[in-house]
Amino acid sequence: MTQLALPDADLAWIEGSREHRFRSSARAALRVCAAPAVAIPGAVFLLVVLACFLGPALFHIQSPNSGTITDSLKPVGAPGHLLGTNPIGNDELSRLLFGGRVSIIVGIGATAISLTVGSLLGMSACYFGGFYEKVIMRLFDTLLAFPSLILAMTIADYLGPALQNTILAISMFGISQFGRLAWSQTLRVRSRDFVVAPRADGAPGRRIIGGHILPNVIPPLLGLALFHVGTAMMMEAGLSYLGLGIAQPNPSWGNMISDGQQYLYNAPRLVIMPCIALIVTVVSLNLMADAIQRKQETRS
Amino acid sequence: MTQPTPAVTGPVVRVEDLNIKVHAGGEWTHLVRDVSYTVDPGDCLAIVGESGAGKSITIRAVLGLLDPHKFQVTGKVWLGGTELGTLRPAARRAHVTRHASLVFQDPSRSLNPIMRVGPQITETLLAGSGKQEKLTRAQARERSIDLMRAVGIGAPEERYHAYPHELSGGMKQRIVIAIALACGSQVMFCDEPTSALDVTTQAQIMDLLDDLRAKRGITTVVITHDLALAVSRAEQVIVMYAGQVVEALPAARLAASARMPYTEALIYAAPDPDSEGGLPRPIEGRPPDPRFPPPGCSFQPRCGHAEADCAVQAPGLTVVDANHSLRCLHPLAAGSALEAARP
Amino acid sequence: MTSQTPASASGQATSEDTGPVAGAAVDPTATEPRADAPLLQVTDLVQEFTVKGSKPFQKGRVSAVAGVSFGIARGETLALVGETGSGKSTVARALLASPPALSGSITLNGRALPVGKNAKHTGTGRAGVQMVFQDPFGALDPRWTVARSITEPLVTAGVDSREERRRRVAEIMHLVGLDASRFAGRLPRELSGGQAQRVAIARALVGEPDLLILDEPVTALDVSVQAQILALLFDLRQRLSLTSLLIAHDLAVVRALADRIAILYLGRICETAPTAELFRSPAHPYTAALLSAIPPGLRGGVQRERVRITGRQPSPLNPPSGCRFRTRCPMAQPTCADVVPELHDIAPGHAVACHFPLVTEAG
Repeated sequence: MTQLALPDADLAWIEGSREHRFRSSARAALRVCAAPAVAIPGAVFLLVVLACFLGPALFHIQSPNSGTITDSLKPVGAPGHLLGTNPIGNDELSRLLFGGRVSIIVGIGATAISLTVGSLLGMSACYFGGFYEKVIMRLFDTLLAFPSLILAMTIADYLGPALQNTILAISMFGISQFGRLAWSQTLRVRSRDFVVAPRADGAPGRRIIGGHILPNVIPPLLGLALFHVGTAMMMEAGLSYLGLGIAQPNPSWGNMISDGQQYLYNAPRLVIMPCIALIVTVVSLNLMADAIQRKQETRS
Repeated sequence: MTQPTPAVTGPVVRVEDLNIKVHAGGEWTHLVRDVSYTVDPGDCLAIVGESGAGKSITIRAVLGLLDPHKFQVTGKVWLGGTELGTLRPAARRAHVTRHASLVFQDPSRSLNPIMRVGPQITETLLAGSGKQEKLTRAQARERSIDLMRAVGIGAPEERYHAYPHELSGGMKQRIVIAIALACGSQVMFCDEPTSALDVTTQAQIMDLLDDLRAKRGITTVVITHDLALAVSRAEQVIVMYAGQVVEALPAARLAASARMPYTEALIYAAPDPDSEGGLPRPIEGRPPDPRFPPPGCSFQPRCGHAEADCAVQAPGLTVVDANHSLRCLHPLAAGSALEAARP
Repeated sequence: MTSQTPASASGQATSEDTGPVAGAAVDPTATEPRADAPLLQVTDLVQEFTVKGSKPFQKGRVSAVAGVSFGIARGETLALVGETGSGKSTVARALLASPPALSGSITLNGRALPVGKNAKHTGTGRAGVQMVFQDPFGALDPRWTVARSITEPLVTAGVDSREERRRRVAEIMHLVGLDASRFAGRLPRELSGGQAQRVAIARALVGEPDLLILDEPVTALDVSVQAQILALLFDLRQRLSLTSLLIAHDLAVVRALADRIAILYLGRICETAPTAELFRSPAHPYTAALLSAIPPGLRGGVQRERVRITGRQPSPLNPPSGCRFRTRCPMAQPTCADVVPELHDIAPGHAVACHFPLVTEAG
């Protein structure tokens, strides 16, 4: 093509600095986080996480299993026990914080497993198609056919109560959810013209997948993941409540609720406090996820 | 084109000084200003303009479809001889339902996707039959099939049981028109009824509307961005720009008698199947944002014939002729629109 | 053997003379296989799709394209016009091999393009064919900036120098009327419909393709924007001597841009002719019907006699035997059901596939 006379501004652009995609998407992400609808519940959740993980060390709170039976059922505000003690004499505040650690680890861990395994299976099913796709999709359908808690209960019962088993059991249900979402998103993006064009051009598959398909498929998956953490935490609480999750004496919000049930009449705080902790954590997480979703929608 | 005795003497639709404001972002934006028009029974009025000119919203205001919390509508509307402002909301809704119907661009939006098409017509007939004559299901079904035949659907007994997705675009649009007829409407407002259809189907649907006008005395108000279509089918054409009527004139010899520069610009912007090698001439610039209307004439920034006072003084509506009015301070000489065409 | 190749009077058949021109970065203006050979030659293209039949467990075969042949000379614009179900978009996609045609042959600038069930572009990186799609926003990755989208074909073609890429992007953006300095960093959602389509056009042209396919490029745009884009395409065609295939359902739009027009109905070509001649004296009843259905032009319109199409649109699962248009043709005869009409010339460059054309061979 013959040289065109371009305006100076354009010539400047030609010489101009490289625009870093990562920087601009990071900036966009920060802008989303800065909105109060996102920042406030986000801050609450962050506070909970920090309290659970850093609190005990910072405030020299005793271990949750170190109480003596003589300190049994001390009320709120008792010296040395901000929130009282439980029937065995363990400090409630400590149990809450350590229990929170469990819930959060399970919530995030199970979600992470569901997200990666589910997405890989779903995306590959859509990409390869054929018999493989049919098998994977039927696997998803099978997993989804079980009520989520029953599925988790069965697996946890089989594996035995332990932290990693709980995470595994809960992640089974999520795999189908993420898998199907990944599959449908890949299907949607694959047929879009902006994928057809470079493919017809002969662009290598790697570049199309990495440049077009993944960046368009991943955001909805991350959105679901954020909601899923709350779901996973609730499932853990349910499992522990039923005795199939975290076992005594290790605390978990779920089993704290279960133990506290018999004292509902004379020491309701034993049930109420873990409930509140669970509610605050899950609701703040969901509000944050919701606000982020809304921001994404209005943007596009 | 013979017309049966119209049910109403005088215009069947009359709009006077319609103004629409929308409440958005804390302030009122004036979307439509001082729109007035009348439509005689059995006629076809075409409202033409670019997108954003306010054509659709005017129709929705006339039919009372705008959310009163968001929109403020002033002005008077007569439908079938009754001024709608004199009716209480429930009575107004009933009156509008009986007398008018709206045909959308995308027939898939108006039809219930999980219901077979025949019953959708029957349901309308039964809903409207209360007052005058109670129809039995069987009678309503018979009449639906008749209506389907009247709108040109072949083998209506079979098609009665079809789902919307099994029908082509043209077929669906005919069903929508059949439903409109089932309401007993005298006036059909059509918002871009054929834009989504193929050229031959478009011609067939427009033929159908012409046919209904001739045989049943139906009146149509058609919104379209296709000026050529408007001219070929309508009696009267209204050109809207930036929420105002800038020219209203008879369709016959529109190109010869148009005097508003915007109308001339539209004539040239349309692709022309007959002019030898005549490329459509784009209109520079874009329609103004209704939040920031330009001072003076709203078309002035894009007008090739603008003069000094156009940017200062907003033109009022001047009447040129019996059916011809325009909003321009310096209209073109009659017939000049065509002159500029000759290469 | 059907032939409606335009400029070449040599009655030439498919150019099976050359295989793929391996690797070399060919400059189309420098080397041409044959001076008078069409740049694009499509012969007997067939495409079928499997769809769900009306009964469960029943698979239907839709014959979308049933033996289409045409050629486009260098620098020429051919318009493929047809209504829904005519197969025009399918032909375009077959040229891009997505999906590739079932059978037939396609030769572009001496190279054979992939045809056959699992054919793929071998990725020589040379932008032979590029397409501008109907929906400008669907054709642009919503997460990619304008500059990145336009640069993509250059990256595929192996242009390594960043400076070179930027220069070419800036040039092509200037040609389509967008300033690189203002638009390069924008995202598609920050563009209007017309601007987005300009970006799509820029992307298609940046790699200097041999053939540009325009699939209903203005249908999704507002009327005044349509005019702008049409004017742009006209301008680019002159400046860059583009060879293009224009797909449209609106004959009016095609009038200004196309040198020749081919009319498609239900997967077969009915008629091809130079633009002015097609409008002046259409030979196929379907063409006449299409033309008569268009509202007459405002600037001195010709009032055409309405040729009414009768009957129902046949199901693509079961197209009529013989001439596919016969069930709707006002002048169908028994022969039309028995014999498939072949394209034959009735005037230089004007071919029609009809047993009883409206215009017979002159002389």
